[in-house]
Amino acid sequence: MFSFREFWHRLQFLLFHDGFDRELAEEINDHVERMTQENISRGMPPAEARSAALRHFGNTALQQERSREHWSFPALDSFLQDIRFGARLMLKAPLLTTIAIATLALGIGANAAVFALVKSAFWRNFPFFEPDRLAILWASNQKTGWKEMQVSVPDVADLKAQSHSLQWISGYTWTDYQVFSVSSAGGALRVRGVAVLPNLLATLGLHPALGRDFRFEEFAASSNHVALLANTIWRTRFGADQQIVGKTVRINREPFFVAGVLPANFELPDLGKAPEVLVPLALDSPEAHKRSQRILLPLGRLKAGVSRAAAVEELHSIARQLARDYAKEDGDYSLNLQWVSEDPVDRDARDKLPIFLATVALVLFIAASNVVLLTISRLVARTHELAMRTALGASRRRVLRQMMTEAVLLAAIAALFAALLAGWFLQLIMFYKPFYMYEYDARIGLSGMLGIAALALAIGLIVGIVPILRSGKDNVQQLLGRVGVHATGSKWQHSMRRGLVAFEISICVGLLAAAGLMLQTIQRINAIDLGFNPRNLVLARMTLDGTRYRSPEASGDFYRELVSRLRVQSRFESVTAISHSDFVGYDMAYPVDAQGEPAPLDPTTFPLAGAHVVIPGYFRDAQSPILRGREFSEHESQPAIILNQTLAKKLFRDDDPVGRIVVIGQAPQAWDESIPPGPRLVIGVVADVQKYSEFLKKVFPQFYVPLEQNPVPSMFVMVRSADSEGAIAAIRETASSMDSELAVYWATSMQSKIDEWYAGQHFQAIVLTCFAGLALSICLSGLYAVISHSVSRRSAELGVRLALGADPRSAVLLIMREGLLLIGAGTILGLGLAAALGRLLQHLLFQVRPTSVPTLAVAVFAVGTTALAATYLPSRRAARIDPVTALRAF
Amino acid sequence: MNKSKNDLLPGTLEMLILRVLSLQATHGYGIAQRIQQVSDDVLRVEEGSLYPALQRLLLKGWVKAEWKTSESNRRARFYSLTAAGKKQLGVEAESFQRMIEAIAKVMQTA
Repeated sequence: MFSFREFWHRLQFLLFHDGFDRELAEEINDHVERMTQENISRGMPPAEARSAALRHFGNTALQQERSREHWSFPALDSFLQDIRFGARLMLKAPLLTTIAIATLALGIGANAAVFALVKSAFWRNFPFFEPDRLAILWASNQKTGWKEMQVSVPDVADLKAQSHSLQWISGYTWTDYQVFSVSSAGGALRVRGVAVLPNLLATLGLHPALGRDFRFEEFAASSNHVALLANTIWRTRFGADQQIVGKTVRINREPFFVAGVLPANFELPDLGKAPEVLVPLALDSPEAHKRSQRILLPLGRLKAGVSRAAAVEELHSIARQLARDYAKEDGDYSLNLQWVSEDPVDRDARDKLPIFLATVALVLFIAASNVVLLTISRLVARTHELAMRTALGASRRRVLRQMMTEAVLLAAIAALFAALLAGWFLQLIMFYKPFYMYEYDARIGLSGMLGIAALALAIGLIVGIVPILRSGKDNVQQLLGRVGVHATGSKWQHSMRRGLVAFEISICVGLLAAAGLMLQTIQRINAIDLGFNPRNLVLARMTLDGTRYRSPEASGDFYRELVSRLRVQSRFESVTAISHSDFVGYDMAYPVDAQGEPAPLDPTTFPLAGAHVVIPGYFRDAQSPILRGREFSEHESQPAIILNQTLAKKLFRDDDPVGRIVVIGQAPQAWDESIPPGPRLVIGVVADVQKYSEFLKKVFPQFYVPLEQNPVPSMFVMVRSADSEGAIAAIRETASSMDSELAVYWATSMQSKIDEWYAGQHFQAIVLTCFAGLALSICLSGLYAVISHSVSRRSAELGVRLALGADPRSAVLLIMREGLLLIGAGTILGLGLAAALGRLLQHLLFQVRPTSVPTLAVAVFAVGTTALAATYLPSRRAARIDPVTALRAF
Repeated sequence: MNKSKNDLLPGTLEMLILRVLSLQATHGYGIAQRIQQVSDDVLRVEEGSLYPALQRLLLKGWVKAEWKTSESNRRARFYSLTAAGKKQLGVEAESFQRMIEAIAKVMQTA
């Protein structure tokens, strides 16, 4: 390497090389002058003397160049030179440069954003200590094949006693609580909570932010009125009160002692939403002693130094022992470990996300190939310059390196913009993200930046090398010779351009077809007759707790009173109530049969049907058409039921079900919301509520029963009003005036919930339409460039044709034939691509087949006509070629 | 110009330049002339290698250069030997001597 002095000299040269150059030039000039003088003194005529000296000296510029090579850091210097030259070239063609940088930046940025999204679907930041040692212990039923089932409290106790490979075992069970804070003016609040086993925080490796964890003696029914509050609720509801530990809050109408506040970002490993309240599970309650009560989700932390395989082995043997000892309850069950760090954020991501990846990858391909096209165009225009460089002694490697430097420089600038764009894209995606992405925590981050840089470098190298792959075969004479005629580029470059344009067209057809499928799906979704009228509907849910509403009738009385108080206000079109809404919350399913008593939950023999408890007049107010029979009256004389069309068909085929008897079986779990089993008289059939589900692909059988005969604690109050905010406020106010500690939750407009249900489709439609439009515009500009280049490439030939009397129109057709060939080839390829994209979209499509012929036809037509236009415009120039000018170019 | 050119042994040009400069500071043209004269026109210095070689020597710090007005009242860049250059000349002359002797031995005995 260099000594320090040498390095110092070189550095000086790098900084002040202009002065060095001048000195060297002057010195060489002096040398030539002296030789001239000597030649004269030998008797040569002055003019000849100088040229003889110059001849003798040789190429002065080359000498100078060789001399300065010793001074500089040669690689760095020529690199900087290439960069300066590249930058100058870019500035000279600002439009081309802007287009190239913009397309690359869009392509790279979109890819970075989508990769961040995909990464966030599979990988999350766990707020736990050493999350890779943490596992959920799921039970699975060998007989029914049901997986991810919960475990009973006695089973967890046995596990804890017998396991040696797990350091901590704990567990929890999700429930909802109504938290009422006396100090806050906001009224009662419904929160998600969990009842936990001892040592939950220790198992997760966490400590409370304030206060302490639960003590062992607090896991008894007599002393478990203790709570840990989540950081969020502590801030929003309790004003981040530092003195909250030891104070009392009211939960479910009872005073609870606050033991502490959970750390910020606290969540549980099973990907539910974060709990807002933790309370101790009463381990002395009767249900905690039954092995049939599978209420717990157990967690375990692997002991340090124990292998996962050993833990799984041990757990399986304990489960086998339990199945032998308690054959009645545990006979069919086994236990499995689900390692928390291996559980993706979104388990369906494998179905949902490939279409995003495919879309952005295609857009990137289009962007990169368009930059290759532009580079080839520029290269052709530079044939002159490159030939001259070669003639002046530039080595082939040097020219190649210059091309690469220019391409990488372009990509590097694009990468800077891409980094900005990626952030914006991601914000946009996160802003419009459909509900299934709520758990995604996507950010670009350092890895994203590195990814952008790597992608840009790779594209730069490809873009730099592809156009000149074959150009080395041209020798200098050929290049210089061609300069005289016409700079048209090599054959390789020409076929490369045509191939790329055909590919771009195929990608456009594919993306447009995919966008068309989604738009058609949206159209079909909008055209669905929902079976009720969602216009201006507002819902809000309440759950009456057993502490205050002890008798079953109390619930019916409360909702009747609430509805009539709201109706009296006469600001609303209609007011009614229903226990379960199709688009908000969940369904409760019961086995139903037309004769005999259905066995509890046996979906193989009896249809499972969703239950809805309603008040009289519900169908009138929801505007659901009654197809047969009538709707519920104020006082039904015997247990009554209304079926939806699907259930009626399932039970009675084409017979009239009105007046027949159906029997409702035992609910799968004895929830407090359950409706009593038993026979009921069918009084009507109502239209299906059309709720398309990507999983069911069909309408679920459902039935309706009156609240009076089936008192359930939880109901939606459903108001039709143009002023949705006002309606929700009125429901809250009226409910609070009847019971100040009752929480009103899930208050929302029906339409927003329907939109949310189809958000996946809407989102995908927007994304695909945008990208298809982007791709089309990039592709058309590429096609236009290729055709107009083709015109100038063949202008001499066309000139001869025209001079020999060819019709100008035939000249246009000649050029257009090339465009048509590209469009045709691209379209055929595009149909294949469209089919592939359609398959990736299948899970989102609604009443549209992925190979829908009209959609494909529209895509082909749209691309075809615009591409034809992009071909025709430059082709017209062929007719205007002046034979004389064109021929003179020879 | 049909005199036969005798190519220098590689690496010897720098030594020759150092030797010329050890006697007298002079410019590039002077160096070339001097080598040619002293060797009775046997050694001809290619201008194409002279200036790169001078740059190499400058870079290593064996010679230094300054602009002076020459005999004929022309501005020229005069090169002179530095202390390090003097030492280097000694080293190179010695190893060159050894090389010549070795070659001569082989030529005489073989």
